[in-house]
Amino acid sequence: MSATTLRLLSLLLILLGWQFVVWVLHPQLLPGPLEILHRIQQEFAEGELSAQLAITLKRLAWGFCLAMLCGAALGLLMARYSSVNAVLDLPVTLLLNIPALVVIILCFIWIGLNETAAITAVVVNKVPTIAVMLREGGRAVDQKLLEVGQAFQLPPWQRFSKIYFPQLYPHLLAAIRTGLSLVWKIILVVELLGCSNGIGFKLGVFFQYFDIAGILAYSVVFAGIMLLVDAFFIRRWEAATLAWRQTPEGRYAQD
Amino acid sequence: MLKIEIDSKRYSDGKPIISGLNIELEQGERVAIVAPSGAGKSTLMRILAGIDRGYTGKLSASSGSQDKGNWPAAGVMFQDARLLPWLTIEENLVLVTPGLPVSEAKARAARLLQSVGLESVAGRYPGALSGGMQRRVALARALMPRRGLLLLDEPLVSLDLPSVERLRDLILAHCRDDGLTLVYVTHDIEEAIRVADRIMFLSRSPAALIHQEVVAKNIHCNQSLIDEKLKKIRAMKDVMEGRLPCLAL
Repeated sequence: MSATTLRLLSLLLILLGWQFVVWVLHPQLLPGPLEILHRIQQEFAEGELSAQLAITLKRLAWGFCLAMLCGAALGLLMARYSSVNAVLDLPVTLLLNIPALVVIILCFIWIGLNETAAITAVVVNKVPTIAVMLREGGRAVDQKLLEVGQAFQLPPWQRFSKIYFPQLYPHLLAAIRTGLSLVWKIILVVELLGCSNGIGFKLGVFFQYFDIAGILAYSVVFAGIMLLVDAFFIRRWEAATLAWRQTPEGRYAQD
Repeated sequence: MLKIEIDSKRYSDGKPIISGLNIELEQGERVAIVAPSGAGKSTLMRILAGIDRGYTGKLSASSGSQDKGNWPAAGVMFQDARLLPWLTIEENLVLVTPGLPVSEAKARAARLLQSVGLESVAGRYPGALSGGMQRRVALARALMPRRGLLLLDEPLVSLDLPSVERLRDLILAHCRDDGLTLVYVTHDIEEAIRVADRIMFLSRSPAALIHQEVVAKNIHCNQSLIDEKLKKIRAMKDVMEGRLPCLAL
């Protein structure tokens, strides 16, 4: 059975399990999948869901990209220079252990209830994790392979793009995966606490009205988009960059 | 002429690896460096390849009395294959000729892969190849750039006999056709006789030149001459290492 078939089977099992729980509980406590689908259609038809989704996705894209850039740059500098690592190790560890909620609240107090504060809160929460992952990646770079570039006198850009950077792919992919999953959770909290729009804000409104169908409809759409991003972008990039780990025949050739 | 003058090269703990090593290489000359394991042969290769610059002394190139400037770029084969696992075999070869048009580099890579008997694996990744195949690819990569200097660190070790003979012929043909100066590190004296015009013996760490042996041009394919030379060199080595009295020479 192919991986895609198994994935579809897994999705079907989740939906069946969900429907089973609906039968056991009262539908007012947990609306069924069909009711949620109907609500999603309704929200899209009114234009509300797509508008809020666009706002949240824009914040997510900014927060994620800035966090990846800053985190990767810091991590690689920490791996390369022991003095940078000595200076930044403590603040990075400190930030890693401060609860996300504290950072979010402080950002809104210090910067104000605006877009900059929302994105800053996401970036500050995520940068330490990415920095630590990329620092380990930078430390694991094989010096012997870098010497190949030196010995054959390759131009600096080729040494970076063909020898150094590919060694970071597994660490970069792991950072992107965990980064996306964490950033979208953080962004909803940020919007719930200090924004007047976005999916997080709408979830707060639905909570006030105990509108479980609304909460589930928005959550399912947002999680679905994250799954699509993972399936169509991250997995494909992973397959393309790490293809060398599989031999064409799936086995090692003999002399 | 290439001049190697290494006054001193030390480990990070201060222990000397190479001391007072002076070698001159003629353009197009094939030199074998023979030394026991751990004598600093690979360190010397790293210095000649421009990877290790932490030594006192200098490497220079000259023509007659005129200084020709910088040490030439080299084609290098390390003791381990060091292929980039995320590039296909063809890409590994094409990578080391950055100045060459891609189509030309690919054609050259294809010819070299054919020469080492691996034309069928051009599209594969190194991880799909056995250790011996990877070493053959590494040799093809060292021959790719056609530079003035060719540095080979134990290139034929742990290969089967037909491959050894085929690859040795390939190395000699490239040195002859491209006018390459060859530095060939080995611990096998017979191999050195078959490949080199001149054999240099280094002492155990710290490495220093202790003896040179010129190999006659006509010796490479004549087994009885090789055996005779081998016998002489082994006796000389025994004298140097104190196992035989001087009269044996």
